[in-house]
Amino acid sequence: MTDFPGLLSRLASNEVAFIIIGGAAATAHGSARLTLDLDIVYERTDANIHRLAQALQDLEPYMRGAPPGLPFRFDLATIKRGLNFTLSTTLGALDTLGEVTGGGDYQALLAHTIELDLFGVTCRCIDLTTLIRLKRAAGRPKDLEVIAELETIADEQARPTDSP
Amino acid sequence: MWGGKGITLEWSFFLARRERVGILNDEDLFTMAQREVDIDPVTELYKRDVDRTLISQNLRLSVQQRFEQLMELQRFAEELRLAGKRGKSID
Repeated sequence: MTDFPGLLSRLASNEVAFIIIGGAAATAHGSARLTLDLDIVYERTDANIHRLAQALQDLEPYMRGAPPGLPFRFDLATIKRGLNFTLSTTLGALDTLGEVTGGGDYQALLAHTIELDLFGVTCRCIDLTTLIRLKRAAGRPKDLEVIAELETIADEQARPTDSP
Repeated sequence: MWGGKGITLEWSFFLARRERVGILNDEDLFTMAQREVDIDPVTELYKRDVDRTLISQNLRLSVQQRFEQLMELQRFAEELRLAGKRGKSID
C-alpha cells in the first residue's frame, strides 16, 4: 500500500519541486477509482534532482518489477541519465516522471496546476482540465473509463450548486 | 477517411460501415459535423456507466478526506486480495 502522507511529507520537507499527476491527481479532484501509486512530475534541474534523490535515499528506492539484487542507485547520476522512473519504496509505489506525453515537463505543466493543502503539506497538483488532456494524450484503452469519470467530475463541478 | 477533430477511430469505422452498406445519409453527415467539436462519442458512451452519486459524494469531501478514503480502499483491496488467496472452493 502507498503511504501518500508519508511520501508527500518526505518530498515537501526536502523542498522537492514536483507536481502530482495520474491517479492521485484524479483522487484529489474527486475520482472514486482505486489507484495504487503516487505519480509526480519532477523539475529536472540539477538542484531539484539532488533534492529528489536526497528525499528518497533512505526509502530504498528500486525499479518496480525489476529482479532483486541489481546494482540500482537512485542518485543524481542515475536520474540525470534517465527521465521517468517507476519505483518501489518503503512508503509504497512512486512514479517519478521528467516528462509526460501531451504535457511536457515540469515547467510546461506548472501553469496548469492548483495548490493542495493536505496532511500538513502544501503541494502542486495538475488541474482537472489538463489531467483530462494528459489522459487523452496517453492514448491507452484503459484510460477511456478514467477520462469519462474525469469529464463527469468536470460536469458536476460546473453544475450550479442549487441544481438537483 | 473519416479523420478529423472529434472523430475517433471507432466512430470512423462505424460511419465507414454505414457508407459501405449505403445507409449513410445527409442526417448522418450533419450529425457528424455537429459532433466534430469537442465531443468524443466513445467517451460519451463510457460516461453513461459513471456512478454520479459517488462523484457527488466525493466532491463533498476535502482533498485530504479523499486521500484518506483512497487509503482505506487500498487496505480493503489488499485484504480482499489476501482473502482470495486463502479462499477455498465450497465444493
